[in-house]
Amino acid sequence: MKKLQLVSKRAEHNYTLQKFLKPHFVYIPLIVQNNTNVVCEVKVDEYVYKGQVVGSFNENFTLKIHSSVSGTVKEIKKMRLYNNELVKCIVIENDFKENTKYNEKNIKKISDYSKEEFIDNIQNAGIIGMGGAGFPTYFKYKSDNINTLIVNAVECEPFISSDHTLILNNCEEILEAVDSIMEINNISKCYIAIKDIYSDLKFEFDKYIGTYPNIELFFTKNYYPAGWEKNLIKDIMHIEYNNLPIEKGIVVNNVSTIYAIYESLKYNKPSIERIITVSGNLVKDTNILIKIGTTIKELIDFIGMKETKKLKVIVGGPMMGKTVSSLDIVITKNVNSIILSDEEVYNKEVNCLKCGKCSDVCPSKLCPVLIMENLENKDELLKLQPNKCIECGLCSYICPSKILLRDKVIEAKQVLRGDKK
Amino acid sequence: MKTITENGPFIKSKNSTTKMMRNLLIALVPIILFSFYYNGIRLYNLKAISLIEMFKPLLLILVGTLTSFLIEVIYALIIKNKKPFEYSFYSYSIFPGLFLSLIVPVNTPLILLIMAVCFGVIFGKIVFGGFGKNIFNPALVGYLFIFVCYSSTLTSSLDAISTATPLANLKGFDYVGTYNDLVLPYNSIFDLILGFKGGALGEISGLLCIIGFIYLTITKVIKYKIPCTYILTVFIMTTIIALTNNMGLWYPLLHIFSGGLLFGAIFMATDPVTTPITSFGQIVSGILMGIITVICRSLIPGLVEGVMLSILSVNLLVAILDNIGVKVKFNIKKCIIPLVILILLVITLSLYIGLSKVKTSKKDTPSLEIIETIKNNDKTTYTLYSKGYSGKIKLKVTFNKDNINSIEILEHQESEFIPKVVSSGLIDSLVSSNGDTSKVDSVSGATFTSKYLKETINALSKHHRGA
Repeated sequence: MKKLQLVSKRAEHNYTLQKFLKPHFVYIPLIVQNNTNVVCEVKVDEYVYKGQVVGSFNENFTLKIHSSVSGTVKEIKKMRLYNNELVKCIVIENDFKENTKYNEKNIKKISDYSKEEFIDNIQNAGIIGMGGAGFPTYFKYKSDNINTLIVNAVECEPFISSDHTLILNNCEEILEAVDSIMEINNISKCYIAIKDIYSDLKFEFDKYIGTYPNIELFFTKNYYPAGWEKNLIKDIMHIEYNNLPIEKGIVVNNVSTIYAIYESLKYNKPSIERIITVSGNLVKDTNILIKIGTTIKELIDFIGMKETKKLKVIVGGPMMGKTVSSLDIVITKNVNSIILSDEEVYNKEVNCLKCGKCSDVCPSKLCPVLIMENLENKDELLKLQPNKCIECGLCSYICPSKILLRDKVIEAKQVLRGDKK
Repeated sequence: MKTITENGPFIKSKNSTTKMMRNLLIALVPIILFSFYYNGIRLYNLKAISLIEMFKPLLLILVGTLTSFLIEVIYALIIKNKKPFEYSFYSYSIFPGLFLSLIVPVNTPLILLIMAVCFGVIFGKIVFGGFGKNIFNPALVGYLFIFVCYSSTLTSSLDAISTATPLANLKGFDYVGTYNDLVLPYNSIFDLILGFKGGALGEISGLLCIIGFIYLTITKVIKYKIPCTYILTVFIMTTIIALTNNMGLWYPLLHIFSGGLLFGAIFMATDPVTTPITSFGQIVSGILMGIITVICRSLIPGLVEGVMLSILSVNLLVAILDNIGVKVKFNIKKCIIPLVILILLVITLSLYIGLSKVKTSKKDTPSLEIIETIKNNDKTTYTLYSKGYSGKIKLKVTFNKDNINSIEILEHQESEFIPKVVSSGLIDSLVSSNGDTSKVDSVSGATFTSKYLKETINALSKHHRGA
C-alpha cells in the first residue's frame, strides 16, 4: 500500500474553542449502533434534568441514553440522522436552567475505581466511540488481558480539528484519565498517537507527560488513513490482527472518548456534549462545543453562514463524510465534523483506463477496479473480498477518471449480502 | 432550505486521465522531433531526399493521428452521440494512430497506414466497446494488420537510405557474431544508444525513450514495473546467450537498443487499458514479454522483430495474471512459486538458445551445394545453390579454364534485393574478380545477398581450382 498524503487546502484553524450550549430544542435519538430497540423512559410533558436517563438499550449489551439539557419533553418524533436514516427522537424543549441531578463536584478520586465500577460507570454514562464508528466503549474494556492502550488523536482526514482543539484545551485532564484507565485495567503501556506535523500538540503534551513514564507519544506520518485502527497498530506495534484489536490485547480509543470517560469518572457526567469542527467555504472554520441532539439548523443559525443556492452539508470529513438531505439533522455523539460548502467537486467521469492506482492506494489491499468490473459476477466478487473495504474513499479520491469507486465497492458489499440471505 | 446531496469524497486528486494523456504526449515530443531530424532533415542535408520527402515523417504522424481521431468521430455520429468531437477527445482516440505511425517503417505508404489505423481502431477498440474496454492494444492490432497482409512492404529491415537495421543485421548473422560484424557498421554501441541507426520513427532513439520513461514514471502515468522487468529479462537472457558464445556486454546492449524494444516496452507495453492492474501481474507480464521477444528474435526464422507480437500475446493473459495478482495481494507468499518457475524458464531458455547458436555458428563455414557439374573441354558449368537472405539462390556459373566466364541467377526468393544486386553491376564485378571477391564492394540495400553471393563465388572458384 502506498502511503498517500491527501492534497487539499487544509483550513487554517484557530484552535480556540467556541461554545454553543443553548439550543432551543434537542432531539435525543433512540438508537444504539444501528439498533432502534431502545426503551424510552420518559413521557411527553415530563420534566427532565440535564444528564437524566431518557432511554436505555438492553439487548446484547446495555447502554443508557441521556438528555443533554434540562426542560420538558415535547413529543417523540422521527428525525433524520447524519446517515439520512429516520430515527425516533425525544424532543426536549430547553429551559436554559441546566438543572442537573448528578453532582458536578468530584465525588471520587478517579484512580480509586475498581474495574467493575469503571465498566459500570462508562456504561451508564452512555459512552460510545466518538471517532466515528460509535462502538460502545465499555465493550473494549471487558477483557482482562489488556496490555496496551492506544489513544487515537491522529485525525487523518483533512479539515477536522476537533480532537486537536480538545487536546490543546484539556491536555492535563486527558493524561490524568489515561493514567487512571491504565491503573484500573492493569495496562502497562499507552501510546498517544498524533501526527508528526503538529508540533503544537507535542509541545502541549511535553508539558505534562514527564510525570507519566508509561505514556509515550507516537508520531504518525502524515498520510491517510493513518488514523485507521489497523494502520495505527501496524505503525506503532508492527503487528496485524484479524477482526478486533483486543485479540492482541490492544484497546484503541479516540481522544474525545477518553475525555468523555474522564468526565464520567470525575464528575459522574454522562456523555452529552462534544466538540465538533465546522468548516467549509461558507463559514469561518471553527471548533464548537455543542450539546448532543442539537440540529444542524440551530448550529448554523448560531455561527452564521453565507447565503448560497447550492448548499452542500457534509457530515464527517471530506473523505468519508456524507451529504445530508436537509438541515434538520440531529448531531449525534459520533459526529466530529460538519462541512458547509458550495464548491463543486470536479466529477467529469470518463471510462476507466485501468491504471491500477485505486488498487495501489487501497489500505485493505483490494482491487476496486476489478470489483467494479465484476459487480454482476458473484463468484468472482467473493474472491475479491469487497467486505474488507473500510470505505475510506481513497479509491474515489485517486481515480484519474473520476469514477466513484467506493460506491461501486459498497454496491458489491450489498450484492454479496443479498446473496447470503 | 434545500441542500444538494452527492456522493463523496468531496476532495479529489488533481490528477485526471486527460492530464495523464497530456503527459504521455509530452514524453513523445522529443522522440518525434528526433526522428524528424534523423529521417527527414538529416537526409535532406545529405541530398538523399527531396524537400517534400523531408516532411514524410511528420506527414505519417499527422495522417495516423488524424485518421484515428476521425474514425471515432464517425463512430460517435453512428451511435448518435450529440457531441462527436468531445466523445472522440475523451476516448483519447489520437493515441492508436499516433503510436502506429511511430512503429511502422518510414517508407510505409500513407494509404497503407490509413488502412492499418482504421483496422486497428475498429477491430482493436470500437468492437470491444471503446476506450477502456479493449483487450488488445489498438495500435498493435493495426500493426498486425500490416504485418500479416503486407509483410513484404513492411520489412522493417531498411531505413530511408537503405542500410540494414541492427536487427536485420543480427538476423543476417544468425544472431551470433563479432563486434565488428554487428556493431561496427553503426560506428559504435553509443551511436546505437543515441539513435543513429535505422528503424521506425519512434524506435530509433533509445536514449530519448529512456528520458520519456523517467518523465512518465515521475508523473505516475505509466506502470513502470512492466518496462523494468521486460528490459531486465531481455538483458539477462541476452547476457547468457552472449556468455555462451563468447560475446561481450555490447551484445545485450545491442539487443536492447535496437529494434522497437525500448519504445515498445516503455510506450506500448504500458498502455494502461490492456495491461494488468496488480503489481504481480505487471511484473510477470514484463518477464513474459521479455521471454517472448527473445524467442521471436532468435528462434523464429523470418521474424525480425518480436516486441510487438510479445506485447499482443501478453495482452491476452491479462485477466489470468490479475486473477493471480489479487490472490498474491492478500497473501504475498503465493507469488513465490510462479516467480521461481519464470526465473528457471528464463535461464533454461536462454541457455538453450545460446548453446544452439554455438553449434550453428560452427557449421556456418560456407559449404558448397553443387547440384550439377558439366565439363566440356575447357568449359566447366556448375549449377549450385548459394545462401541468400530469405532463402537459397540457384546459380549457374560457367568457368573457362580457371576464369569465370558468366554468372546467372536462375531462382531466388528475394525479390527486393536481387534487382538491386543486378542493377548495381555486382554480377559483372564478380565475374571480373575471378574468384578473389574480397575487393568487390557489397551493394547497399542488399548487404547480405551480395555478401553471400561473394562468399559462394569465392568458395566455388577455390573448389574449381582444387578440382
